[in-house]
Amino acid sequence: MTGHRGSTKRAKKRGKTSVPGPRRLASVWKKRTLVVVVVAVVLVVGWLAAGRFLREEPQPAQAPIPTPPPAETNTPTPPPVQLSPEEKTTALKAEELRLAQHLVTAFPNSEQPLVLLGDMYRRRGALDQGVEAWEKAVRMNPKRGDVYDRIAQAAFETDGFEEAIAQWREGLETIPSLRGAHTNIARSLMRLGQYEESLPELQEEVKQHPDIVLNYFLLGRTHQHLRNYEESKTNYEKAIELKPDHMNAYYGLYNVCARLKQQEAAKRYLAEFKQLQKRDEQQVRELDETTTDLDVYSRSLARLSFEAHELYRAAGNMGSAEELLKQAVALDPENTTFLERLVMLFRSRNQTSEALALCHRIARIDPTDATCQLNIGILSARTGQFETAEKAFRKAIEISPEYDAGYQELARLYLHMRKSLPQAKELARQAVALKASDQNHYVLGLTCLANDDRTSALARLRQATKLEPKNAKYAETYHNIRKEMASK
Amino acid sequence: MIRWGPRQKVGKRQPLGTVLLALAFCAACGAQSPSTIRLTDVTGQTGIAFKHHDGSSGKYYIVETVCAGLALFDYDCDGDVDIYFLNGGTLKGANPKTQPRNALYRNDGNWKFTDVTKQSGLGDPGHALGTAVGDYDGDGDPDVYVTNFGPNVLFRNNGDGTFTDVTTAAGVADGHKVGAGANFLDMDNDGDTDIFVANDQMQNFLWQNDGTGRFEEIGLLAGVGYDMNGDAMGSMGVGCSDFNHDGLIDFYVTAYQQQFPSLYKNLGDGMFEDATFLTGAGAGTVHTVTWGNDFADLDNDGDRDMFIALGHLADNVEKWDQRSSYFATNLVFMNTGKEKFVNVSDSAGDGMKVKLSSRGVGLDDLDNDGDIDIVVQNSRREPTLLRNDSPKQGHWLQIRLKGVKANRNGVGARVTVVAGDLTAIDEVHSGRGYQSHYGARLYFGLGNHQRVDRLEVRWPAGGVDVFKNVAADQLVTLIEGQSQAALP
Repeated sequence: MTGHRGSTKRAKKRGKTSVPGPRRLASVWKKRTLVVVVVAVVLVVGWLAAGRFLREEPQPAQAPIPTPPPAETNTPTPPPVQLSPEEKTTALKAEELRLAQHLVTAFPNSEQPLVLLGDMYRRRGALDQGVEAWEKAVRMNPKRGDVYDRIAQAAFETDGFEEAIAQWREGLETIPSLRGAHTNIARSLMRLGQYEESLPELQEEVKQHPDIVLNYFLLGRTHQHLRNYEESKTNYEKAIELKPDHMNAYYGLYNVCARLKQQEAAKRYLAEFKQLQKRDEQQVRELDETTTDLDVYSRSLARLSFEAHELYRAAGNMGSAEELLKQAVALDPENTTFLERLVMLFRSRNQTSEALALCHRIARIDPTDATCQLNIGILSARTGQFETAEKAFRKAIEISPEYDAGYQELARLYLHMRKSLPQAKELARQAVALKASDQNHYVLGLTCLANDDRTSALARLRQATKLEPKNAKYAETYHNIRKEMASK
Repeated sequence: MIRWGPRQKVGKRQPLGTVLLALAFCAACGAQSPSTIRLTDVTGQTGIAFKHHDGSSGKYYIVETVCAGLALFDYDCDGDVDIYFLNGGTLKGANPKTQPRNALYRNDGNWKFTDVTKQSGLGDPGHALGTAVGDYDGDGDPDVYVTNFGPNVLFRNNGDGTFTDVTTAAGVADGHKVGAGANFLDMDNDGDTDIFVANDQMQNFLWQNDGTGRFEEIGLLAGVGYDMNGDAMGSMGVGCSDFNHDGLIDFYVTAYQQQFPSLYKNLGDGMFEDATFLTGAGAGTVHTVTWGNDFADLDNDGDRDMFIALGHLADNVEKWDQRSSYFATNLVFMNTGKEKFVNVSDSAGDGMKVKLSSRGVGLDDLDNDGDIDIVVQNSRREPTLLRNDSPKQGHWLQIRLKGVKANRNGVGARVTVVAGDLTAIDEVHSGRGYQSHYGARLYFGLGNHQRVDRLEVRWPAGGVDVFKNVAADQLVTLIEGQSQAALP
């Protein structure tokens, strides 16, 4: 810095302008590196902000998209600047804060931006600011039980267990089925040493949500502390039944069996615990090695962009919503929720090839996503790629054999292609067996018709009409068949 | 960090009467239970000028953040307890104005201390982490072992107030490791010395001595390897004592932020139970890192209370996590005698208002007035000396052991004291709390008992001495094999 100031002084003394000659150009750039980096960071933030959503109010129609500021004409084009991961992280953090604060201004009558602002602070560890934002949100809309949940969670994490319990109870007043509230009250009571009192809370939660593993695990632990070892064992076993690799439940079972002097079982559970723990440690190590701050803040801004897109979509500003959604996808390209929303958007606009490309991307990220395979099938069929469509529907059935849509869509495809019609009828029958919906009855009716079984077709169409009397298509098809039969 | 005060219902306006009633209730209750413990910060009057240096390199090496412990022992055998502060060295990248060294302060009585580091020869410049004191050569005076990041050092006490570095001569020079704290104790009442090691982010070790000098690691089997869920903790210090007077030594193991320390209650059959929440021993600890800790009867009521040192290891933690803070006030828990601890820190005197980043802790009677005082090592700052000014309400007995067949300090010896309905045990340990050493004199609060009916010493060499009808409120020296010696 001193050298830079010195050379400027010398230049002024000599009465020269600051425009550098060709030979000095390189050294000037060297000296200006810092400035360039700073400018670049600002540009990156600007580019991110050029998500073009920073409009003052939600617009019903698409507003013009601001473009990045033009480069100065009297300066040479700067070489591309490589930002360090730290600089990128800083830019992302700044942008996330800017977007969150902007949403609060842009949607002054909605509590949701305050919720999002609080969530952002929470992700950054700034809990007090998070709680402040959430409290404002819940003042605007006291019916937001999920916000009480957030405040309660913050209290729970900072030793405020009584406060947490009170907040969760308020959440339950607002939403009696608030998911996890009874569990969390029980966890707070346990931390206060009130194990007896935590039991009814856990039992209530089990009644409401019998498939949540955590409740059985906590019941196991509570009974263990209350020395009800048999009940404890039963609950730990239930947790393992629902989640066979529940490491902590195995540890609990070891302890309980040791207390019950069931040495063989204790030994077995301990061995299982050790094995799972080894695997768990490996997974944690791998996660630590692969996750950077840049990833964390990219995903954080992506999440906020996605939530902001929802806000703009609800307000009817589809242009800004789309930009924000695209930004979310750009920042977290592996997030299938974001990608699926983009697929929906493309489909609603009949941008079939774009939607199809995205579906293939989702399938690469999550090859076990049956819905994605269905989408591939439907979109491929729409573009005449029947072979691809058939493969995709078969894949969907393979992934989720209990899901009726795969059978129905494949039956439809065969109907459309006029191929394998007996198989189409069988597929439609399977769809009805899995879910006796009006749609499935209708498709089965069509396959019956295609296989010249008009009587069965009529029966199925009657069933479809009974289930959905408002659907004119069902009645129309029914009458057409009747007419055809009559004419014969 | 968020402090959850009296609850205020969010989102709904409270009627004024309700608010006033709530305020009156809160005022009547007080934030915490009243304390019978008073600790006064007397650091300023002691003449101690020591300031801890952590070797700050700007690179946040882990060995900077975890140092250091301290030792309380009578180096000159003049009857009062002196203080040895460990200090960080100069790590790569650090450039301190003066070379940091460990410091020895002689207790001159009346809370005055003199720096005798230079003449004693104990001013080791290594990057010190932990220390243990014992009479390794059996000549009657305490020698000092220091674990460094770098070569460890053994200092022999010359008996004239000076020490000689005998590391090489004694054959203990292989010390280029990161020394960690450990505790010798008899956890299974079988008369031999077992070892507990608190491991950071790994399973804790409990080495059980089979009586032949061979050890078996049983931490996992015994239920002290992990917390109650089976998760590894960032274990730091370990306090060992019988907190519930059931004749079994229990453990209190401190932990990292967002983890609770664990109070492992000894069940007597080789197993322990995590009783942290049941006893209330985890209250107020979750927001930051907990370090040095131990049990001591601070109010002489006959049961052992607990002191815990707190402070995050990262001086910038608030930047990314407001749930925590680098500086924190320490905690004192009052034992209610019913297996319950109450956090009385806010009402236990101005000594508990000191807000620094504490590490090692030592508990001993520094002014020979019959109650336990506390010395706290604070990272990068001056230490804190807490004088116990609790109202004189109970009697006490202090015991110094002299081994003849056993080691001179009686390390590993167990003392059982019976006074009326009170039966209490304690052991002489070497290495205590977090990287520290203290407690060569055993200390028993006796409540309202003016005499001890029976006093039994079980020596590590196997012999048992019994003393009867011992007057309270004195320090007695018990020599191995002299059961019949008259005691006042």
